[in-house]
Amino acid sequence: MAIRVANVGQSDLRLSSQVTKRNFLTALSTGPFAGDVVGHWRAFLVRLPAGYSSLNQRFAMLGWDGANLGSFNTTQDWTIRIPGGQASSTPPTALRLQIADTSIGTAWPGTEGNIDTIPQLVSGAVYLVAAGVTNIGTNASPVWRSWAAACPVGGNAASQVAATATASGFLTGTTQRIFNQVFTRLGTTRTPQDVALEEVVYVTGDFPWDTASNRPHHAALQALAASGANPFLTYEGLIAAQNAGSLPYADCRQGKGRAEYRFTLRNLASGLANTGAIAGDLAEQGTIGGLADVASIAPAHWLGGVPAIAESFDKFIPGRGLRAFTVSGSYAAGTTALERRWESMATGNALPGLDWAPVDVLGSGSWSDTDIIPVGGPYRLRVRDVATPALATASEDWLSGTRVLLHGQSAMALSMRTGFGGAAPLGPNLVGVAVAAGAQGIIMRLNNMYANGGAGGSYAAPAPAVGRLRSGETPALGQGAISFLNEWNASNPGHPLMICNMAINTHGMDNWTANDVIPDGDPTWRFMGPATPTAPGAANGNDSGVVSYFALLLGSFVDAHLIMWSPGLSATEAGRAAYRAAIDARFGQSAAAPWLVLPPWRFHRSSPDINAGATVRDRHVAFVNELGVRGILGPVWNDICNDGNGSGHPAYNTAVGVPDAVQNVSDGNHVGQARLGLGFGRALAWAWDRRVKAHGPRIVGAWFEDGTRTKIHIELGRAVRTLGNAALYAGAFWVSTDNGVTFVNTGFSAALSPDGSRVVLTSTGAAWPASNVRAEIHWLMPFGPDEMANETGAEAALYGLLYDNQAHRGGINLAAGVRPGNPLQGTSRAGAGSAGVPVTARGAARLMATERFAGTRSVTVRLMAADGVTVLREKTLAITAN
Amino acid sequence: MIGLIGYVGRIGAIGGARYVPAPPQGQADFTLAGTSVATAWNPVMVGTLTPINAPAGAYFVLVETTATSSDEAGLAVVNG
Repeated sequence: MAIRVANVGQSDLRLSSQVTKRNFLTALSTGPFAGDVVGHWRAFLVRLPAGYSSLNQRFAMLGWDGANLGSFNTTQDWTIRIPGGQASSTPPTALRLQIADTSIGTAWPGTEGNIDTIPQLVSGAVYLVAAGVTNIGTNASPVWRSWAAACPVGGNAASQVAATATASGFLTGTTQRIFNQVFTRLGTTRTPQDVALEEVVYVTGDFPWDTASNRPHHAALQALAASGANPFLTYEGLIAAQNAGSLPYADCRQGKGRAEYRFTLRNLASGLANTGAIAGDLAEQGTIGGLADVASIAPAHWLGGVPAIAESFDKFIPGRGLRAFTVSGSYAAGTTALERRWESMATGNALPGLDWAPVDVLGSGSWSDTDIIPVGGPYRLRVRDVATPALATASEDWLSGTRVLLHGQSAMALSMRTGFGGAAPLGPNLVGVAVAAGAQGIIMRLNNMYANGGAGGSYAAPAPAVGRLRSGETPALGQGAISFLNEWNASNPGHPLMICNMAINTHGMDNWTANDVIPDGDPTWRFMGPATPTAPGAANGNDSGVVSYFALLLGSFVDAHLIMWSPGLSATEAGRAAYRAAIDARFGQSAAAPWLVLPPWRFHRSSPDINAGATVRDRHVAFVNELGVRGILGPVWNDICNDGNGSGHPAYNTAVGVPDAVQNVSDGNHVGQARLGLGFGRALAWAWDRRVKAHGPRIVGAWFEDGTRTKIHIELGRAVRTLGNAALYAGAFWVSTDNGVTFVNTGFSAALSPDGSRVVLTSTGAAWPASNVRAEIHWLMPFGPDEMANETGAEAALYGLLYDNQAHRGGINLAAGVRPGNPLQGTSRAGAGSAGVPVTARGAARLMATERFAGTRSVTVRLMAADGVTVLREKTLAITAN
Repeated sequence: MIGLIGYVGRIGAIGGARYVPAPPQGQADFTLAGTSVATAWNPVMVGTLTPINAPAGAYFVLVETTATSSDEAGLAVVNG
């Protein structure tokens, strides 16, 4: 739209303070200028109403109206007026453009700078009108020309240049009012009714000059007025090209420019905002209502188009609602200002502090905006043209929350999906798990982690595969990922989670760090790829790798790393440090991201393979300590898989009703994947909120009941239970008599103390020795196919293990009464003096800290009588940790 | 839950730091030697708990409030 005079003499548009002329001889060195001596110019689009030519005055459009009185005889003040046909002075005698400045009367015909060679403006047509003063010489030896021009839209430009050089007083004066208002409401020069204006600009600088014809370059004027053979331009485009020296016109002195005041005047609601370099909007003054919106008069190229939003592949905003996030996009020529709004898709309401506001950066066809988006979603992002709000676009289904990156090999990779290879990177959902009410999330992976499968078995570039997990839906995505989100959501309601599954089966950490070619994939595609995040090549994978591409996709930022790497976690501290450094190099925006490390216990794998378990656990604990403050030791991670037959491995049962041929009693253990996912979700929530019950009980001490050393009491720190009143499984306990080098789980019985806080091992043979005795829980999980060939029986044996009183880590197909909760956890260490806990003579009671934390925590301790019910004394104690 | 079933002699409300008056002379009490600790990812002793005027067989437990896991506080009691 444009703005027209609806009621003459009633209102006009003014700046809050007038603009005073500067000394044009003073060189400028800000913005595009570098010691440049330049003039100024101003321009607008105008349409004169029918009957204008019969009016008898020189009506003001733009400039300064002479102390608000509509009198323009003040020396050297500037305005642009368009006289009616019956001018009070002659010439002109018809419709003409006139510049009012008495100082240039010698240059222009007439006392007010009449311009008599520009053809009369036709009522009803739209014209670009421009006028200014231009230095056509050099900075050292300027030569000044005053000029005016008009060009009908789609027609030919006309201009007039002052006959002589501009007077020095006009150039050097600094008291003249050079710009104050658009339209005039006072005096006889007030703007007539139905005059419409649009696209106003006041520029410091020189208009492009035609050096052959010695005039403002008509090609530039016509480009603004949508005529001629050159690309059409807006003021922004013209000035940008000037400053870049790229105007394509013949015999052109390009000049430089900076728009100081720029108003679209496309409507009264938003067209008065200044997008120029100097602050100051227009405001309607007088009796409001004298002006009104009217259909746009500008050529189409001025009006821009619908701006575009560049959606990221995931539309996920990581950073837990605390990190600035940048969105960007593009816009069409003609757009001068954009604004954005973030809103809830559920309510349509703007997010707090994120209602319509100008985008941060706008230029060269691109826009960007940076905000901190609160945790939640789905959100809608709207972007619109300020001048023409109907030119708007929206992007929906954005989430803001926590992004976690998964590291490891098959047990990790396949906990979130089913099946090897790239055929089903994100699914299927074998047990029909639904996304919990209120939960929102994303699971992502590459559709082709191996970059193979192209024509003839050759290279095929990977691309991100994204699965959206929406509240209440049952998507065809891995039940492990859904369970992961659901359990996370239980502790973080409505907090979106993005699960990035980067793990690949079979390969060890050192292979990744060495940037090996992925053995199962294309020979040009590697694990790590360049340190600078890089996309895979179109023709081969030599210019990237898995980690590098993940980093590129994720903007090198994750909120946390989640790692369980069994059995391939690097065996050395140096190897683990090298892997971490390689990851940090590629994820350079998350150098402080925590690593949640889950030590694995393996189920359903027989000796001797299972012996790797304790060693691998030990490496995980070592990794946590090596990570320092970034390391978080997660709870026991029951890796109920990896023997190739175990029902727990989600890899080996790819469809409902198709269990592994060997373990045909299994349900295909589709529950296995979901069970792992539940554990992940709980543990990740605990990483940020230690009130979450992610850890099971852990052994905190052991002692001989008496000097006979035939009974060992293992302290668990809290009450535990079996499932469904099942008998305690004694084989879960292990005793070493060589200080932790080797352990056995035979030669004793096991019973849970009445209060459930201790396990008492009673030797069925000789007394244990007085020294080098250590006790451990779950040193190995003896449920391999050799020990328990019937997998159903193996599952049942798990009931006899010890768990806390939680019910959140159970398999989803287990009855409510036997959902396990957190299993009892050992020390996760291996080796002499480290594995298990030492068994000593009973000493004094102790208060123990069982996890790494800082600050002060309160704990209430009771002294109980032997009857187990009488409280003798209770105190709340503050414990300070560092 | 330990100590919550049928107990007697309850002293004050569960949870929350508060002042607990010293018991009358001769009644059961206890002390904790040390209240600061350098924590780690394995159990580390904060201090010993010493009963005073406690009958034979007395032992210590942590009160678990709505946080049913003592791990919530990262603290545990052992009795030997």
